[in-house]
Amino acid sequence: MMMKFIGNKIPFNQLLIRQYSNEVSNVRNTFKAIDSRKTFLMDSYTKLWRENEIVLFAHHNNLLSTENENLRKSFKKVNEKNQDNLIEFRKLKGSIFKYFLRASVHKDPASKAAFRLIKRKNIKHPLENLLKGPTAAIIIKNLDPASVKEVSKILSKQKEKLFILGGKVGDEYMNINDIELFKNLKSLPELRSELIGLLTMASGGGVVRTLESASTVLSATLESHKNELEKGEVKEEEK
Amino acid sequence: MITKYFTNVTVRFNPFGKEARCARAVLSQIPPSLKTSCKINLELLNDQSTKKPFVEVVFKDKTTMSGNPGELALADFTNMFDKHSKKLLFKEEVDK
Repeated sequence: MMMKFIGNKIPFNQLLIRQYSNEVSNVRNTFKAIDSRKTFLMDSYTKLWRENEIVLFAHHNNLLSTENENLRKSFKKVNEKNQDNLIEFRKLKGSIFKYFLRASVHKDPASKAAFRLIKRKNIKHPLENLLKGPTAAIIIKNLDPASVKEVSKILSKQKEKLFILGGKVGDEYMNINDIELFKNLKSLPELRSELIGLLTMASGGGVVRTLESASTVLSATLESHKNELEKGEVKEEEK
Repeated sequence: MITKYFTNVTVRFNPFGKEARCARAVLSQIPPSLKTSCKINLELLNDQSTKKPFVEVVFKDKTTMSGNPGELALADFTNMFDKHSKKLLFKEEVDK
């Protein structure tokens, strides 16, 4: 009787193991120890990369502490003027950031699964070449060319001490020439309003009509098709 | 690397290319104390540019030495420059 009872139900020690394994699966399975420096850096880089629209990489060359301080002060000054689009200057740990870039396709780049994914698919990142040497990141929250212009104005004083190499702007990876072009653009709302202004003007009317014509023709054909079908149904009912 | 006798350094490289590591390492060898005595010319290339990556150093006695950072490593540059710097160092010691 007792044996049968045990046979039907899960033994107590098995139950404990299952419960324990459930608890374990809730904890993050990170490649390095969860409380290690590397995991911490990976997490902070993940946040930096996903929450900011523009990340520019710059080479920094033996900056003295006073130069460092002045640089941060000048960024702070810009931030005070423009509160809603903050700029941050941060030196990167190259090897860890390179690994992060490769793992950034994964939901949790610090996890073991991300490591296996990189190994299996042999993932390389187009921006990882920029991390061969002392690299700093200039992080801008919103996609605004004016902020990039401010940054390049500050960096132009530094010359070979600190210069931009390339970076991420929105979803695109840019080199120096692209960034030079980008910083002279107007901001996105301005460009949009300009486009709308152009379309609403008399000369833009043709464009709007041509774009609309396809959808109106489609809706007309569908309408006539629907009418024919309805007529057919009525005739069948009469029969 | 002995950088004491440098008066002019020219570095030209593409940050996305394979020469970037060496060129950036050469740049980072030059200490801030040389700011006044040594001039650094920096030029960044991109994929479309036809110029070749290039590192050139002019010494105090007007000797110039150059190389391609894509083909040479930092250690090669260090050897090359130090050979001449040691000569200058020796000369200075003798003149004293």
